[in-house]
Amino acid sequence: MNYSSIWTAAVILQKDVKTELRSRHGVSILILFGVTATMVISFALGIPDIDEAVAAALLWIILFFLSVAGLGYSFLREEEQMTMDGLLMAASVEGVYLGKVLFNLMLLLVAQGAVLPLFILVFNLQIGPWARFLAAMFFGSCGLSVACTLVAALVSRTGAKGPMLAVLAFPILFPLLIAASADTAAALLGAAGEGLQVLVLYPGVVGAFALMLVKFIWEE
Amino acid sequence: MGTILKTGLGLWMSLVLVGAFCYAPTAVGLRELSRIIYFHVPAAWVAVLAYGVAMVEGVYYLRRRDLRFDAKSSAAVELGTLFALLATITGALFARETWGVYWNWDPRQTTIVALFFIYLAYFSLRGTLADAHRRARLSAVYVVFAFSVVPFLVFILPRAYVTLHPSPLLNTGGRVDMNPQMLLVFLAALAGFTGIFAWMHNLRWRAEVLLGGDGDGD
Amino acid sequence: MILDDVGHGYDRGFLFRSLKADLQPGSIAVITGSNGTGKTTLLRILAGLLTPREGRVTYCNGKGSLPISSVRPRLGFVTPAISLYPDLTARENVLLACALRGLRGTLDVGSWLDRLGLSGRENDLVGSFSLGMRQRLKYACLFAYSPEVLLLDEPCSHLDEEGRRIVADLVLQYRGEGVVVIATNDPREVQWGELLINLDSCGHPTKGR
Repeated sequence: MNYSSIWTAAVILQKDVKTELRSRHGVSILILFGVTATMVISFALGIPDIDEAVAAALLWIILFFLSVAGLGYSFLREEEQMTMDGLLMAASVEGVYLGKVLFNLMLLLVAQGAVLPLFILVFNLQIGPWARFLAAMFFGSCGLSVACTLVAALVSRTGAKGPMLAVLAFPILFPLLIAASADTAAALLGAAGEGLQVLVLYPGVVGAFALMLVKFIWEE
Repeated sequence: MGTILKTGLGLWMSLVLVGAFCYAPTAVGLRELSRIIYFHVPAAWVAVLAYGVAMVEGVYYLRRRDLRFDAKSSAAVELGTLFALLATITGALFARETWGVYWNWDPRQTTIVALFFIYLAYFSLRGTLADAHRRARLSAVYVVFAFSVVPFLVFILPRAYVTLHPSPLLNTGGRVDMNPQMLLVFLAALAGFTGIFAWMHNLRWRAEVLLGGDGDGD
Repeated sequence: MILDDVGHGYDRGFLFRSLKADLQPGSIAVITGSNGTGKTTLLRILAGLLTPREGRVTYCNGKGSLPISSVRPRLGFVTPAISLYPDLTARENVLLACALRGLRGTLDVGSWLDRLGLSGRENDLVGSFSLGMRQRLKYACLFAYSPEVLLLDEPCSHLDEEGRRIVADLVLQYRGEGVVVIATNDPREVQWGELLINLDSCGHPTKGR
């Protein structure tokens, strides 16, 4: 990690945003998934009012599957288009990883911009303090992106498709999902919760491991 | 030398069995049930130890690129899965008898489940990789990466939720709630389980090296 | 500038062993060999994308050897195994190759596209390009960041006569500036080389031409 990695990250982010704006592959998958899941759950339950803890858990289950469905493309597409080696030739792996983390975070936040209002509306949720709720969503998304991006890089090297990302990412995301749904439930109830410190620490700790390990993934 | 060690281990574990059922007294309030700690706690300890071994051998592989370290790492994960299963089953039985349910998402149960998921994911990852070196490298990366969640599982999450789990050794006061006879059998069981793990691990990884050949994978 | 120590092998047995070569700037080395003898593998090793099973590749400047991570951005690698971004335009692809290497500002992108006969198409998406045009664009990406080593795998694949001439001119003109390594079986390209590494004969370099 140094100045040039951050520069690389910015270049990669800019490139990915540009391609995404042209094709809209990634963001449409995430939004469609989130909207479909929300509607199906709402339809199946049939009632607008559900327990806050249940709502929070459902929300994070949706966000988990949305991440593993959509964030794998970040590296898979580079591998399929045969552009990954070009990136490795030109820049540091850490920089590439960081750029993909930022891009995936952006995808997640945009998708949440569409899914969250629908979720709140459909389940008739009263948000306690908005700042706490949004903080939980933001830091939780950082964690999702940091962990899923590294696992996506691993999966892109295996040749396995689809559910592999979910299988490998779940154990890593397990503590994050527990803390995030507990904290979101607390925010919905307007109660104090201890989850937020986990949500803030998680991207830092997991990200440090990822930056240490990412160079081995392409080291043949 | 090996024969002496193996025979010694067999005798040791026989003594632990006898001690656990005949020598050690029962704990107040738990009666005969308390004898499970001589099997449950060592099994859980070995499950965690196995993960530690898998991680350290993974780091060695990434440094040295010798497939023997990969064999050691994956053998540790295999045994870890077995012992985690034993710890979970014995733990669930104990929970049923004392708390009335087999499963209640106690933080320790949560931790062992998380460990399980890591182990299972590790095997699915290995299953998708044919080239021996790439398989070794990527599974080492995964097993080390999974270590990043350990602080959350061990220190942070359990503090946020209440636990009913008895803490015979590592309780907050740092004192030992066992009488000397119980403690003796307990420590002997810990040592015995660790010895069994070391022996099985040694057999397993060497078998894996023989089966895998040198650098060709399956 | 580049000193090639000993060589490498693959999964089962060895493709080639005990390769030794010392490549100085200003020379062109040509790797030949039938299909499957490891030409591309050797180039990937030189590019630092693959670690050799035996021996090692060392890059040196006047003072001493350099770590591969710092050398890599200054290598230019053209190979069918590395593609351009189909969702970016020709100009954006060239700018990206430079930006990733920390170069920006007044880059002479237009003139390189011009020299490779791509003027007029610089703002079209690469997805709409033919294979020959993509091959030309790879050279524009390459020369725009002025690499110190050229690693060319089948340098003229998909190119028409005009494209071949342009590339030949560029490579021969570049010769004075750095090391060039070409993997090919085309006799016309083999002629460019002063040093011949034939992987069919287990890879002991001979004086060519």
